Amino acid sequence: MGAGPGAHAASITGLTAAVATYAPVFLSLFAGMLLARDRTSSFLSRLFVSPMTAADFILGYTAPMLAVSLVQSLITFVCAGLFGYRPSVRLLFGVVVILPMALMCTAIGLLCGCLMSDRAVGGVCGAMLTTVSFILSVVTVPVAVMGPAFRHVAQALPFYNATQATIAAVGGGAGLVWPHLRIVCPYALECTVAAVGVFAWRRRER
Amino acid sequence: MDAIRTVDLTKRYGDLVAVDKENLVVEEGTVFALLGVNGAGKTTTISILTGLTRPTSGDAYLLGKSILADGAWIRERINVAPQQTAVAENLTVRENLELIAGIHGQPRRKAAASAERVLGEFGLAGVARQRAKTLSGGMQRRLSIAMALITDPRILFLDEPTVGLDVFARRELRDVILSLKGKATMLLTTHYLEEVEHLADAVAVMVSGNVVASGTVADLERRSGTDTLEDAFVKLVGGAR
Repeated sequence: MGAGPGAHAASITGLTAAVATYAPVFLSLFAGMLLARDRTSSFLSRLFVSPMTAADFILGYTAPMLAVSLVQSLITFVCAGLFGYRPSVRLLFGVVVILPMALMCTAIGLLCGCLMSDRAVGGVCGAMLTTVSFILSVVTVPVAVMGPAFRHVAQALPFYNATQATIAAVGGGAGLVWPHLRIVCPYALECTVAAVGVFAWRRRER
Repeated sequence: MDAIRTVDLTKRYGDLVAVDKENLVVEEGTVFALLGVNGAGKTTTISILTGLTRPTSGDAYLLGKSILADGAWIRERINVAPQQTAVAENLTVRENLELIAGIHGQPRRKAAASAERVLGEFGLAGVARQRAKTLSGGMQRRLSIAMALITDPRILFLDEPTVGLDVFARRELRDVILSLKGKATMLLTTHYLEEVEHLADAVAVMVSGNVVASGTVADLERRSGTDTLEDAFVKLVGGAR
């Protein structure tokens, strides 16, 4: 079977970086289900009576998720060593470059957790977001072989850019990191601000 | 000074009126008991006063500040022991206490000292290192109430605090409430009328979201022509249902 036009075999470094960048998508599932369950608990009601602000709550949920992301990325890179990836100090840069993606995924999860039940979060973050982000991150299908419409959509969204930023970081192309990351960072910040806003609104409207 | 004043406080859920133009005054430093059968509107009242639920209309003033306009200021000065046990199950007893103290602004050292004090007051010192989820229901309830008291609130809301407590824990809680009289204002809901007789400076009786009577225990007995609070309660609630 011949390769498609523009297709090429993925390098182990690129594939590892892509998988590590994709992994935080599951943080949205964890964060969303955690918040959706907490919303029904008496303990969260107790915390709502405290001086904590909506930003405090979102920060409280996000900070551990970012720590998980750091560990998750490190494990991904280390385990890739079993399949031929040669770890270098550049992977530490890659781990940091993944953080905006982790922040965005956590914020999306928290947004869903504010608005939906834990079962609904499972459907949206566990099935829909993981599939959509996998396709749009262009991990398995090179962007060159896609039609122009899909390519433009993928390049305007954060999933593809986060993957390319990590590939550049661990592949030694430091100069290519920021052009991609500058697309990811606004999405991450906007999702976080939206999560804070929706959390505050839900708290007020209980 | 009034610690709590509600002005035509109303909460509707669709066609259901949970609290209907409630007007209450609770003086600072007193214990005020809110009585009523299940569904009378007691917990809804506490939810509104603590900022957990927005009123449909009306307002309430805690320590002179509006719950609608000054929620953040109020939340720094109040605490609540909810009807359901509210603890972080995966934290230890001590961690639960220190967490709440920290959230309410106590520095680490003060939070640790406060936790130590409350552990002693509530007989929780022996289980301080245990995770909350390993405690019995009664001990979790004790912890939940201790978490409300650790912040030294100026107004403390106790929503059926003695449900699930054994006789010793109930006595301990009663002693704690008596020791706080004059220092903190307490709004209490309970179905145990003997507790009300023992603890409360003033009482309000709610039926279907309305306050049908308020005053001291003696006032209610006199008004209803009865000799005990239980008889007065039955007469007041029975007549209004």
